[in-house]
Amino acid sequence: MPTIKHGMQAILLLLLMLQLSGCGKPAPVEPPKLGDTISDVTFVSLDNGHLTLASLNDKLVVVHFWATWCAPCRKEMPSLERLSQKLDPNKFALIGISVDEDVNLVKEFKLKYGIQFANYIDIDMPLAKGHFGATAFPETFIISRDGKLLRHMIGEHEWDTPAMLKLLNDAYSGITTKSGAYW
Amino acid sequence: MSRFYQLAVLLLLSIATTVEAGDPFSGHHVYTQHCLQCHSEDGSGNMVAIPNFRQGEGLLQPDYVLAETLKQGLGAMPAYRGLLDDNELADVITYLRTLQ
Repeated sequence: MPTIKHGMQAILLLLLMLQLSGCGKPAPVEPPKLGDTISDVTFVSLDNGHLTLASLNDKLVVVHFWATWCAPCRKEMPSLERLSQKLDPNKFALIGISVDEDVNLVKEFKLKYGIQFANYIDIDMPLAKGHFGATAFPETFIISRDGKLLRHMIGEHEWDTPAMLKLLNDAYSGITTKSGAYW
Repeated sequence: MSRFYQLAVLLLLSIATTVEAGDPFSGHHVYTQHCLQCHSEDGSGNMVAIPNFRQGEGLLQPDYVLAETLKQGLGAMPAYRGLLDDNELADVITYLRTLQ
């Protein structure tokens, strides 16, 4: 028969769970600087498959963090999908990484909006916060063919414009601007 | 009082102390890190579509609504859910309200 003590024990357990809920989350790191080498990392797909950044060697890699609950992320997703269809898969890898807490939300979103480019999941943000030092969503890191950070972009963009395609193709070819920076 | 109840009281107190009113000084730090680039140093905004906080634009709503907007993003403003905690959001909202 339930007693006051049992009730108190249940409350105590709940409090302990609340206290511990903040544990195990990755500590945020500083985002990499332009030109920094991005250390190897493993992406986990929506079906629990794995892909390493190192395996994409010699491709220009676009790592894009987003979430279904993020308004600007949802808004720009169609243009990212169009971009993925315009990029040569032998030269470029567009890696979407959702920081949603439930993989089913991401799968549903992809189905609903016809998103086909490769997407991965980052529950609790070990990649976003613990590896890339993300500061907002959406956030995009463009990594050169030799693994260096070329561009760090915060916020939404129109991804499939001719100017953006030229920038990506120039970056793939190693064409730099007059200042020596890529973009 | 048994150790059981002492522990329960300690836990309650530790949780209670994590819910604080926003601190405008910490909020200024958050603002400088995450908001200043678009909203400008004095909050008047750098572009046409950005609200002028000095005139109260965008701020005439409850704190919890503003916090939700910051978490989910709005228009061109990115989302901060999971990156700024509730205290940081409260701090920056308190700071925004000092700009008027």
